[in-house]
Amino acid sequence: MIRLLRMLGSNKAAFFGMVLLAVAVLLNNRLAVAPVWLLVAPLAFLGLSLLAAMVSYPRIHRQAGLLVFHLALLGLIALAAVGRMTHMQGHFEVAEGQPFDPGLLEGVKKGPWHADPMASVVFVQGSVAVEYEPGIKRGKTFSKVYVASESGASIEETVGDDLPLVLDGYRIYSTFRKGFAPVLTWTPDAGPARTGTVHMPSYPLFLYQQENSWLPPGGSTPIQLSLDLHTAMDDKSAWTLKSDAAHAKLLIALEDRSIHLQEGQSVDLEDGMLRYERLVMWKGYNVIYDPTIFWMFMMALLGVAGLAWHMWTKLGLQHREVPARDGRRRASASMLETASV
Amino acid sequence: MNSAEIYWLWAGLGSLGLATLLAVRGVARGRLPEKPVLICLATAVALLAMAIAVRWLRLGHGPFVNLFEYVLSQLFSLGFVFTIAYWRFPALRPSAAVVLPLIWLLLGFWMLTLEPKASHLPATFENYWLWAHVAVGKIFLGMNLVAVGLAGVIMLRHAPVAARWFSTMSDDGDLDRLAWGFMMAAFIFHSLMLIAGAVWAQDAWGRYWAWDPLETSAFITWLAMGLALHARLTWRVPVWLSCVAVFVVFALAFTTFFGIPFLSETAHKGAV
Repeated sequence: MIRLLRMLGSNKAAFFGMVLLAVAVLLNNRLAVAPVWLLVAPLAFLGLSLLAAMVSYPRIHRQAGLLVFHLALLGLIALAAVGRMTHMQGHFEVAEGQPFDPGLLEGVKKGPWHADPMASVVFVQGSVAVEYEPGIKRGKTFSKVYVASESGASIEETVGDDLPLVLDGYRIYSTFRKGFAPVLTWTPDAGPARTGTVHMPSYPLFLYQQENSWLPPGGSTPIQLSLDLHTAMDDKSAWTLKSDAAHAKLLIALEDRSIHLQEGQSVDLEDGMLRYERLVMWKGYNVIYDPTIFWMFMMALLGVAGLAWHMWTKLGLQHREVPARDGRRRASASMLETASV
Repeated sequence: MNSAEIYWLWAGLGSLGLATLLAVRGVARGRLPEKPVLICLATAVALLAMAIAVRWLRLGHGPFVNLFEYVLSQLFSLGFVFTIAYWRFPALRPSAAVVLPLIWLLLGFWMLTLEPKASHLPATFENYWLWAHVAVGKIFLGMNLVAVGLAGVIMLRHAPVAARWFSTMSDDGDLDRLAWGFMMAAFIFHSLMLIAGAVWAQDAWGRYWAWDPLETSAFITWLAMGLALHARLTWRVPVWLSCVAVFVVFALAFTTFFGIPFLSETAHKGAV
């Protein structure tokens, strides 16, 4: 058993494990859909190898810095595993004035230990503003959201390009996805009226494709909607994308005719009445949940500190005199005296 | 080319060129003019820093976006790290005759072909972790370059002419250990680069690691250094092979810095 542990914990085994990991990483990058075990297997092998080294090679305990570094690597592997089991990621779009609903989530991926993604998250989307520089180059994004404080009062927060909204451990990030959405009220021939939004394609990415189809609640035929949109967009100078600085006519394409609606106007259709209330913006977000992030950061820093400590103590950073070939003495580092790194 | 930074850049390259000529000529003649080389190097670094500063003031952001900025800032950082090493470690000074021509081959001549086009800083780049990521990354590559210089001296000494040039330096074993001392320091800075990059990626894109081409390449470089360090502990690695390992790591690192971002459209989204 000891012999097996020594084999598994040897430098040769670690070297072999690292070669396996390098091959796995390259394959992972090449394959369109890489199996999970491709990276897990070599990492698990390296983890076991390190554990075996600590049990069977007492020498490693005498090199505290190196030990801390390797333990930190082991910790990172363990935290990454916990993170995979508990994580959740997805994306959603929400319009100005709309409360967040977990039903908006799309593309959800989660670990087996994560239940009910974002069930406890409550916020209301506020106004969105995106600055643009000349040449339609995207600048800063300011997306206001309203969250409830502990006392129940509403607090305004701003989600920026690298400033996420963090609620109950969920980190909600702004993305480049944003666009316009007409707010529509549909009053069916029988039943209560319902108000909602139809999200048009991302703007200004799909500047000339501001159209979408929409199936009225209870209706049978999708209706083709498009926007005759006017914004502050300017190729030559700086401008801001926001709903306050935009207006649009809503174009409704029916089989036999097309209808133009201004904000506040309505039209009778086959199954009910459609009213175009106003134009708002929708904002796209990515969301992730990973409770290990902070600890991974701390563990990584600890590992580097261990490595630096090892280098300081083993290699020495102070200057000293070492002989040169011609017999002259030249200042150099005591690194020269280290038998091996 | 009429941007103000160009004049500082030319002056910096001129000073770097003079340092290169003095170093190569001095080593070939068996007497390196150590102080003049150091003065030229320090002047070149200061002038390149001015070029960066002038451009920074003109555009309002650091040299993080286009190829002109990448190469300019890398010229500065490699020059800076090597100048510090040259100043503080007299034993490696003759390696300037290897390092400085290498800087010219890799970046100097390339720099001369680039236009100082204005760049737009993506909003996700306005993050102090990006600064930290870039700064420690540059120190890593600089440390690696110093090791390459020493490994280059060892390899060149196999040729009789070059053996005479570098005869005043310590023996191959000592130089190899010094080179790997720098590699060890480079390994630490590379680790810090990965950490700072992960924090920035988390802020910018909502994920700390996604195995994108650049991250993969950087990790492979880190792993290659780890492999080389373990190999040195495990086997009696001959000095020539040890030198090859230094070159391989540098080649991987250089590809990560200057190859992947321009070869792959999906390397750090928004970086190019």
